[in-house]
Amino acid sequence: MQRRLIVIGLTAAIHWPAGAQLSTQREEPLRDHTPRVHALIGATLHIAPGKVIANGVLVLKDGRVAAAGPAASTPVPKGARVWKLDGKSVYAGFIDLASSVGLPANARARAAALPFSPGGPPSTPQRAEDMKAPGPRGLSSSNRSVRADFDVAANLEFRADEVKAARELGFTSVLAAPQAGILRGQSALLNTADRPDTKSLVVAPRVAQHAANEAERGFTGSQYPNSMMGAIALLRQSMLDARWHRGALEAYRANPSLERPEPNATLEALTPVLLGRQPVIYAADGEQDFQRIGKVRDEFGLNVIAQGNGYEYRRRDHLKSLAMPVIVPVNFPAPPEVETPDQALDVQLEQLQHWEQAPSNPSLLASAGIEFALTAHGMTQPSREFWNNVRLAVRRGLTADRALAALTTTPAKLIGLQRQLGTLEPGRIANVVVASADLFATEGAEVELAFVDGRPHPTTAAERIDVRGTWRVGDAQWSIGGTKLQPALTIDGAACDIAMRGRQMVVSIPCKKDAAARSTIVAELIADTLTGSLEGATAAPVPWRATRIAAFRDSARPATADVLPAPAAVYPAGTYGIAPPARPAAVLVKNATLWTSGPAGKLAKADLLVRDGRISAVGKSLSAPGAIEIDATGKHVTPGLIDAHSHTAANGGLNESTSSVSAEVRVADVLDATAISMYRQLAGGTTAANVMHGSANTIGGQTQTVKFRWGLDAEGLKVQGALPGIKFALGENVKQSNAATETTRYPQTRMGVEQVIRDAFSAAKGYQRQWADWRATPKTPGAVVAEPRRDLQLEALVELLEKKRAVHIHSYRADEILMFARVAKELGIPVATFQHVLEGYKVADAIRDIGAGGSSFSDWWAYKMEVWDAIPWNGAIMHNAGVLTTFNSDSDELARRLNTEAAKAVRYGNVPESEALKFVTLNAAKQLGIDKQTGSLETGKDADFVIWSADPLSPLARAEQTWIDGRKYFDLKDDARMQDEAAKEKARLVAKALPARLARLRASTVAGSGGRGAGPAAPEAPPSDVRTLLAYFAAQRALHQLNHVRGEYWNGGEWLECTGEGR
Amino acid sequence: MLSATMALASPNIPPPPQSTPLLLTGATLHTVSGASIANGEMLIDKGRIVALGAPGSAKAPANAQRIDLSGKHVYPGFIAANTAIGLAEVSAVRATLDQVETGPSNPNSRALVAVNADSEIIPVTRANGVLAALAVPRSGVGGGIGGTSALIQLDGWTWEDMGLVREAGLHVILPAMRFGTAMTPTLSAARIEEMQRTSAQRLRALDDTFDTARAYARAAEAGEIATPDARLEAMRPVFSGQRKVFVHADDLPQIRHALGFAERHGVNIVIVGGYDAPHVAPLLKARGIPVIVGGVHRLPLRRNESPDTPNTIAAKLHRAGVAFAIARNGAASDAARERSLPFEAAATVAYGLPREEALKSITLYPAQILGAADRLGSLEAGKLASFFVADGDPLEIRTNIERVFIQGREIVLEDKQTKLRDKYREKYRQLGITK
Repeated sequence: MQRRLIVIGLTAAIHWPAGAQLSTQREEPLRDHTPRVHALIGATLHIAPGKVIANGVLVLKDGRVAAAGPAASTPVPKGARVWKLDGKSVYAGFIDLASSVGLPANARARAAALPFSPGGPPSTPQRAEDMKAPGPRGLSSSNRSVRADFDVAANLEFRADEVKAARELGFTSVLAAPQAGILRGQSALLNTADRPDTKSLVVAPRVAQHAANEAERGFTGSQYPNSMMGAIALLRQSMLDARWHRGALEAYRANPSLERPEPNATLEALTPVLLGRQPVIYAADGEQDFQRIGKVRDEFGLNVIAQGNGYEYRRRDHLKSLAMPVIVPVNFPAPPEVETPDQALDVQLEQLQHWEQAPSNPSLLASAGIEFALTAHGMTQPSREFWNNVRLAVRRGLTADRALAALTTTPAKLIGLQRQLGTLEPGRIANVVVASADLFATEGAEVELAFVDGRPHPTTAAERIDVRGTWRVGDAQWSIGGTKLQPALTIDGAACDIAMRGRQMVVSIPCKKDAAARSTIVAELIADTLTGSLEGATAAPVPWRATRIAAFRDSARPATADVLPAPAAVYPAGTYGIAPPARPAAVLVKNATLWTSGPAGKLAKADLLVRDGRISAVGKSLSAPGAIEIDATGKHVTPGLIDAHSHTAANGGLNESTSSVSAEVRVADVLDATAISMYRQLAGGTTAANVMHGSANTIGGQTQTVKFRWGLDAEGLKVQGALPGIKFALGENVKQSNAATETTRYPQTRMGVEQVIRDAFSAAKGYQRQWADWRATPKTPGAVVAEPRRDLQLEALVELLEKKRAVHIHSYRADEILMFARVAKELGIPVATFQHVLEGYKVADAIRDIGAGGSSFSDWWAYKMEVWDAIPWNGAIMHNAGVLTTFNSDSDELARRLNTEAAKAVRYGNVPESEALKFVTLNAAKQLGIDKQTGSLETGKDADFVIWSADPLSPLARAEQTWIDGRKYFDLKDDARMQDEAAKEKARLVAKALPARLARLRASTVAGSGGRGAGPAAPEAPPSDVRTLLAYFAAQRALHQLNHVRGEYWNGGEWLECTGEGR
Repeated sequence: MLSATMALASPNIPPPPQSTPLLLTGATLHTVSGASIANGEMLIDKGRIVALGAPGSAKAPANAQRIDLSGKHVYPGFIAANTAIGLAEVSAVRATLDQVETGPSNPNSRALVAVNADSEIIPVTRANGVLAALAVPRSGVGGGIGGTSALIQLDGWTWEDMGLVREAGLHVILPAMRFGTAMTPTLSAARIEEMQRTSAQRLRALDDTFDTARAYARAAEAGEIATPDARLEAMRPVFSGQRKVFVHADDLPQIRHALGFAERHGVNIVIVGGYDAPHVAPLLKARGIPVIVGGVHRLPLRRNESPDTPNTIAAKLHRAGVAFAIARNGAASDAARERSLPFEAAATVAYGLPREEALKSITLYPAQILGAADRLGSLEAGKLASFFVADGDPLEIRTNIERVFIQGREIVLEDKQTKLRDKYREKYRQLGITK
């Protein structure tokens, strides 16, 4: 409720005149005194959603609506220019809240910014020149992605064709919304009139701040941030800085003897946002971004309108719970490529489902009670697609009133201009749309006329005449059908050549093609009369005239409702989406070989009892009346396997690789509940993982421990109570030794790596002291005192100093492992694990001495120089030397078979089998600080367990069921059933998509362009720059290997097998 | 008792040719080609298996040295049919890589001559029972003709000693051919079209090369070539039917292309990779085209697919009657992981491939596909005595490979890694941390 009030408050604060006449523009003779009184009569007036007047009169005067009412009771002023609009529909001008009209080039979507998800904007790989603009200016932030002070109204650049295109769709007002960066700047609401004075078009400047979790992509040449988690961290830090800066300035003003804070226009521009006075329009990249946006909103108490991407329906329950309005596009996807079996095989079920459901998105949002506005944003051909798509949405169940509201009253209200715009009530700005028929119901209805600030702007559609209907031509009758642009006339069974030339119709007669002597009729339409001449090749022209005696009646099938069943309540979309599994009150697993990983060891023919999600008993001959009983005779049961090194289930890049220290970035911000890898790992018995930042920098980002609760959303994956972690890294990756081209980023040596760590902690200690001092300083009541600036990067390091967080450090060589062991001891920071630690066997005593764990590959080696001395006995030697040891995956593939990784500790080093299994269960739980909850089959712990077909250390075993928190997330039997159902659903959708796809291909062939996936390229195509392309393939492959480009619904495997290496 | 052979042997030093006949007794002989022989006897001489059978069946000469292997299991050495072994050492260090020649067309490259006999990967790999490997030359990004592969045994002073089949096959690597939105959700249409065009260009170039080479081969037969062309000369055996073309093709469009390619050019092919091969298994069977499955431990190609799809490829091919072998992906980074080959094969057994088929898929079947079945792949009289002794089923990770013989010479199982292991075990003994 509070949010609404704030919006209303904003309205009251805006005092700019709505009309253009109150202008300081100097006028030169001759001055324009065109009267600005218009009366629109005879049309159906849609005053507001749900308020319709058939045969109404609308009077516009001096740029505002003067009167609107039934013809009978609404006088037409004398002197008004009268527009007879019988049969037409009249609406309040439409409003698009996500427009690029008026934007200067440097505020438009950056080609450099690849979207993370299919829902994102179309893009091309980065080009150097795109990365340059805009640079820091004057008092603005030095980071080019933070441009909160960028004011569109002060930087307008109109392109006449864009203004016209928007108006022709009926958008008489558009929000010029900046589209580049993270905090993108402030939008302006513009009227789409053709006026030379740009100021007169601005209805309101600085309407909203615009934001997005947008990162610069690529590893070289990009500026901070180049990951989605970096983008969120930067936005968070910017908000904190703005809050701090305000306080610091206030304190300085009160006490000029304080040290002077810098003036900072960017931070100052965020004040209205922080005070909730200016809304933030926050663009969502993918369906899961709404959740991230909601969290940022709540953290800073912002007033947020989400800019959506068409996938909202999949998260409609969540959006409803957020009570966050959304600006929704109607750029429904083209049918997927299904014309060959090979292509149909590649198309994901999720894509097909989205193709089918996308037009139902607005309707589903309406049914869910979500407030939304519609936008033409993201369309490649809005003039062709926009109204067809809106009508399609209506056929899918969106009411015409709701659709009208989404284009008028809702957007007006969202930006607090509901008293100026959105209806045809008297006093509103005279923005009016006249359409040939009901735009929301009648196929082919189009906008013919728009009034903007009370000035008429006819559209191209109005210039095209419609000659269809029944005509009296002398004694004959003609019946002209077809379409408006291509009328059809048949006389005596022969189709006539009939063409439209501007306002003229040209017909060649007689229509029979074999006629010798031909004549041509050229006639112009005036009301219902065609007047012109009939000309023979040699004869003199004679006058010709025809009268329309009946209007054209479209015999085409009227648009019928086509409401689909709502998509199933499963998550994620596509194959294997499930509803959150139920938690039975009690489950009893009988007669299994239990590998407890606890003090009980391995129990033959034993039972496991689960109550309310927790292990209630482990032992022989248990009984529990009413429990769901699973006969596991001959089976083996282990704790759920835990992967201490994972990069599964995160979106938008796992390396914030632009700087050597990025402690502020958080994997928690970017979890991905659609990652198919989670399901695949459940099928291999893995239930929990340490999802980490990559190893591109010495001090990476904050880790997140998750359980693979498939079917839940990103927040549902998090394990509460885990030891917070942070990723550090040493060696070749942070030195960038294996980069394709030489780099100069500090550090380039292992000497430098140590210094980066010492430097960071030196700063952290200073920061810690600064805050301690401030807290200790007595505060005089009433005095204005500025808090120290909060620095999220240093805060994370202080948490280490205060032992509230622990380090997971990527490391290989003995020298660097020893170095960090010594530095950590000196600094007193907890080390949870040395990761990879392939030379851990050389310095196991040093690792053990600081209480750190070792988390290793079982037998990988020789992939780079620092793993040349890796040996498969590493795990056993560390274990025997007293190091808490695990085997991990660091790989979505290896993570599916951690059980056989554990077996390698037996093969290489004779670790007892039960101890070996702990390498992937209890020991990992300890390293992640979740051993109180999971990691072994012990009474009181979470019921995270796996039922195996055979001895789990054998490669011949497979997981049959995988349970987390007493809920079954994987079952081989369900897997087969879901495969089957998905195959049927896919077959249905392929059959449905095929005709649409083929029609599209035919159309694009006619239009002369192959279109995406339209078949092999034409052989005569000019040779592309193969070298550039191959370099691009190689770069993309490298990015993939570093887990950098994963978006939602990532196919989970190869991104592109461009290398021919099949990997 | 140490044999004379063994006394001479040292780590990483190739032993001399077998001079004394050996008689192995007491072990279960897993012949692979036939029934296993419990408590069997195997006579080895001059590097070859002379006889095997029930106790006393082999007529061992008087000077034969007897090795008692009671309770042990003997298997023919595993054959890794798609590797970078010998051609790649440390995949991140360019100086150690010799697998990929520059340019898309290198039919004249010969893997054999670049095999580094002192690669540290070789002793590590054979310690797990992998005793022969196909060294495969590949092309760079975008596909092409990599060159001629060589089947090597994992012991020898030089590549000349190691070469078992010196020119095994001509390797053609197809470019990426799937460009749908499923693979490229965030790429622009223009970019996709550009990639498609590049791929199509490469495929046309490949066809053109083969057309040219066939004409050249005919001209050469007719004695009409004045100055030989290195590339085209290297392709002649393909057209005379002496050499197979190994087409690296993983997904359905690539495999379909490979089938058409074989038909168009009239060459015998082997599919390497074969992820989607089950989709066209009847076609492969009808045309007698074998598949070297390029990895079991790999991710499904498509989100929709069952998590176990890669594990089921071999079983599906087997059921359809397609000849197959199981290998790994063969990239440079994979050379050091070839020692896990038996576990890749093992990972098909719970997914429908009979256990004995899994064993054949890394012994007899690759020997057949690579043209070495007369010497390798099973324990049969006349074949090379290249085998290992294990304390159990070698598909099981926990089984230990205890002894290895290559051409009748016992190889000491020590390598770079065991030396480091022993060195640092000593450290903790000295520190009193372990006993």
